[in-house]
Amino acid sequence: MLDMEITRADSPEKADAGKDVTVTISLTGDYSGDVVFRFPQATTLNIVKTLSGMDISQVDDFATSMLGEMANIISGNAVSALSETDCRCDIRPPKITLGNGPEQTEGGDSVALRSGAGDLREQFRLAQS
Amino acid sequence: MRFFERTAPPGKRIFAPRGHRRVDKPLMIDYNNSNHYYIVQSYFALGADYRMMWKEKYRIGIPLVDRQHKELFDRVEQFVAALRKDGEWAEKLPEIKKTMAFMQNYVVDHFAAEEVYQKQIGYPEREKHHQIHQDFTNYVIQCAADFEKNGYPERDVQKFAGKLLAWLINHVVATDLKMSRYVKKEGA
Repeated sequence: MLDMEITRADSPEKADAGKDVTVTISLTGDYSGDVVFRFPQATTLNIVKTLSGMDISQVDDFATSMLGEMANIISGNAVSALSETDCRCDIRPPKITLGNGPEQTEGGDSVALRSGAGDLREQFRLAQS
Repeated sequence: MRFFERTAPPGKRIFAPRGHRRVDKPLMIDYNNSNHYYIVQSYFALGADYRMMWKEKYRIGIPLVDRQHKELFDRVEQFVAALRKDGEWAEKLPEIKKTMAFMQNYVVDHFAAEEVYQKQIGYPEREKHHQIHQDFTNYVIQCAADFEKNGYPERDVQKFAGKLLAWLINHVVATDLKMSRYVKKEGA
């Protein structure tokens, strides 16, 4: 996906919560709730380097917007796949925050992922409508 | 990287200087208000970081489309490089506007050419593909209009560039690749 392979990881790399980029995608429809993507800073910088070929030293609007679009694409693909099982959902535009956003990431199921650019975490807080 | 122009008297051919690439069609401008017209050619100076976005693995195996994708990536890269380079935002703005327009025009041209190709080969998903193109074109046009209206706010342009880049790469490696698979399967 997007020039990178993403697989499940045993456990995520230790992240500095203050520098993580959190992207929240809200779902509506047969399932409602949030899907939260957490990108550690190192992963963010590597993703920008991989996709743009440019080195950046700190996370900025260019980088966070790129991650927001990635999360949007991943979630859109998931919703499309769900629709083939007669499950109808829609997604809202991504909300992007720097840092943990504590009330956004508590609870739900979590999965650690590994990409060519580094580790990330995906959290699901969904309920059947 | 920057844009610059060279002039030559009529009848004299202009070659791209070493390490530079021609980006505009030649213009004829009367510089001295007499009957002497000069040829003006714009160039884009290549930096050490030129052509880092395009990767050979983005090729989908349709030569016409691959050529255009490469050109599109180059133009997006020029735009991103213009807005990411060091310097005051106000000083960079003329180049940012120029590269954005340059990129925007090619997005429209490429989408149109790709859809003509899809019609020629009878690609069954061309309507869906057209809608994706249309939605993204509308987004780019709206952003350009908003930027013009609001004086090109830096944060908004940076956000646009990040989203544009991610969208473009995904579109090529996922959506356009489907077209390539159809061509290979059907021998279109």
